[in-house]
Amino acid sequence: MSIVRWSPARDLATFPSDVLNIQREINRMFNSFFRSEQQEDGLAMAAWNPALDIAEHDDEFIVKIELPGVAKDEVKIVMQENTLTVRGEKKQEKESTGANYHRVERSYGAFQRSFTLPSTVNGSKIDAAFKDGVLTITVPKSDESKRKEIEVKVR
Amino acid sequence: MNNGEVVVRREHDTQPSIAEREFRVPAADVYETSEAYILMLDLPGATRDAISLTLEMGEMRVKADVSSLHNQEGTLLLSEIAGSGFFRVFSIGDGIDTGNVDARYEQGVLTVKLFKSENVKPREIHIN
Repeated sequence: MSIVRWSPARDLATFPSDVLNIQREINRMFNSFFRSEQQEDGLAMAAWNPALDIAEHDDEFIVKIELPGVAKDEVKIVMQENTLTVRGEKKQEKESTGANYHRVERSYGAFQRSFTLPSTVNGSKIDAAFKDGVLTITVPKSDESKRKEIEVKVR
Repeated sequence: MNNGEVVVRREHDTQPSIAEREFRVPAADVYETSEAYILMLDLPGATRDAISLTLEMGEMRVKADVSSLHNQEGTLLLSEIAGSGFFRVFSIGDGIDTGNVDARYEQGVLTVKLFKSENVKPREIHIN
């Protein structure tokens, strides 16, 4: 079981088997280009995608997201069904605006990461902690999904 | 170049050497004010004690260990956070007062303030 990030180029890679995919991708590109900003979905609006790790344990999932320099109040975690969404914004430090910049490599602006967790989780008991620029989210599994081993008697 | 020996000079913030390849190059912002150069480096996952900052021979080296971030059991379903740490070298010009460096670490961001030496600071000269 693995979670794979959506890649627009993946469909194009299967070129010989499905030529129609290319037409679909080009149409999608044109549609998204001419759409107004309000109609954009959350993912397209995100300025950067912070890196994350998801680990499955016996009774919980642990998600770690790199968010250096992001204030705790600027992060929002939403759990809907099995989909966990982390969104927020990193604001440029006030003291540095107007200064003479030599290089800007760090990411600023809005971000959003969203992923579906594979088995039933207990959404009401999610815990999140922020330490040294890494957000750690603990999502416990529901009691039903914990009972993985089912003994089957052979007659 | 003395006695035919080739002096290898690192270029401005070069890539880490082979032994240090497991280290990532941290993203950095560099800006200048009238009194100092300010460097901001993203070192997510590093504790304050795991960061080393050295100034030597016109180079500033930043190294941070984040291997504890990967010390988790269980099955990794998605793994995007790479490397066991961060490493980067910056070359520092002569106009820096190396005795006057201020560094602080907050929320995964290391901010280093390198103050300019008195003789390179812009100065307004009063005309009598």
